Amino acid sequence: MIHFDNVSKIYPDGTVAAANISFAIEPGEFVSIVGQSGAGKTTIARMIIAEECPTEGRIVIGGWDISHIKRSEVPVLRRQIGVVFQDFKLLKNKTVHENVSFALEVCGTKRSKIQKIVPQVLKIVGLNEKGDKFPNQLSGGEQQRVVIARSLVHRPKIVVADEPTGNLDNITAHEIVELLLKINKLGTTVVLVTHNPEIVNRVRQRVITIDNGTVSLNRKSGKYTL
Amino acid sequence: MFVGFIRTIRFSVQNFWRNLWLSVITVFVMTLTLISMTLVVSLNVIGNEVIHAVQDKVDIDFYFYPSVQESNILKTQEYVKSISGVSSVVYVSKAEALKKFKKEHKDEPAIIASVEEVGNILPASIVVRAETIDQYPKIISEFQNSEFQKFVDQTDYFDNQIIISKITQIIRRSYEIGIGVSVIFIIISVIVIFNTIRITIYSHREEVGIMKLVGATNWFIRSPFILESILLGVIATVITMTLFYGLLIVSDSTVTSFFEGYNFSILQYFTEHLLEFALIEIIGAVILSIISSMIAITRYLKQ
Repeated sequence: MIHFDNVSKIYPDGTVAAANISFAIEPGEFVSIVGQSGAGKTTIARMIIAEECPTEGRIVIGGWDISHIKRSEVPVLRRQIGVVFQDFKLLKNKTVHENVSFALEVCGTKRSKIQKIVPQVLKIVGLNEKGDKFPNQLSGGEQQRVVIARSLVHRPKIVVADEPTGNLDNITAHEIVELLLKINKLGTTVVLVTHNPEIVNRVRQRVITIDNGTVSLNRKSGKYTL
Repeated sequence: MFVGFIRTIRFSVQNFWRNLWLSVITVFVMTLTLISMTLVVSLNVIGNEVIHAVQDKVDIDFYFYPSVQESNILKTQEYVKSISGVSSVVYVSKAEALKKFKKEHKDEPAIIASVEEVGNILPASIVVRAETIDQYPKIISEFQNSEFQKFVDQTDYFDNQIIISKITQIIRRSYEIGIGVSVIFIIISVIVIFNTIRITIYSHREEVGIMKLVGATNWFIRSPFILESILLGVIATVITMTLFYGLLIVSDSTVTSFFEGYNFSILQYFTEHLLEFALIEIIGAVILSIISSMIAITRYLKQ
């Protein structure tokens, strides 16, 4: 599903964010990418959604080589990958329902289809009763659930979650991880980028450890080790 | 496609209302720019009309010696008529000159009384009008080399020449100043409009980021902002035209009285050219706002 072949990312100022990284993620896997701050985890997540292009190497997503993806093709890729960020990225002046609908509206989805999909994804994340609430009326965990719901509206084959629990307390963080596991069980490949050892150890799924821009460990069922 | 278009319109109207103050400021600045441009054009139109009016008023009087016989005056008239560039030559006899003088001084009984006491001392004259203002020197020089020169006591050409060149100079100078002021004003306005639109887009940067994240195409992200800019441009033009038309209605009587005796009304002129003015202004305003918004939005799309 996701293939990194000798991928390097060097920024114009000379910073090496990734150096010869290679790994493969199979369809339906739940993979945690871990490492210390500045190790290069987020760069990997950004390269998966084509927010960054590799300086060297090849990235293939679902058989599509996106290493030198054209700007006009990026929206097509993004509709196939759900993205969850630490800082939520919700529109404060829109309700939960509107925030989730927005992702479909801007892609030209018909109204009737939006009305069908949005309640379904809100139900998956357990917010079907809070569709008319605004983000500031929700807890941090609930806001992150809205983001997850939004990431699911295009029925993506991959969900990339970059530090989704970074702003949450332990109990809420576990709830979010449970939700991601639930989504994974429905058949979606989940890439979880985190530096939280507790979460990784609880999940007990595959772990790729990044250290100084390189893969230091790649275990099928692992624990958080540096 | 249709769904996308309808949503683009909805988002652009939403942007306009949710940033009402920014929209109002942008419209205000655009209106100021358009008004200044329209004023320069009006100044140009009025200036040209003034030059024409002055040209129409200019003529040269050839005053004859009192001893010159009328037959010689008529011969002189015929000769002047034959000079190329002369448009008309009107003979004003001594009697007609007196009649005209009395009419001009009808409210000054002392002058009228003195004229009646000393008798008609006014000279006969011919009034020469050229086809264009620049032909007078040639006509004068040709006449001075003719045999009819000896009948003529004096002409008022040299007095008129100074006035004509001064008026032309003043009009040209005021037009140049108008253009200069407008160019400065337009440059300032372009910068202000550009920055106002940039601020509008900056206030939407989060929305733009989310749109990109969820797979909206760059054109879908751009189009509400461009449409909003067009809306701002059209509103500014409508306000400008309304204000300017109101100004014309108020000032028409003043401008018309300035051109008394000439068939010119600024209100009529602009009414006849209203469509052209509106089109030029709308196109100008829309192009300016589209360019500004394209530059501003592209910055966020690249991030």
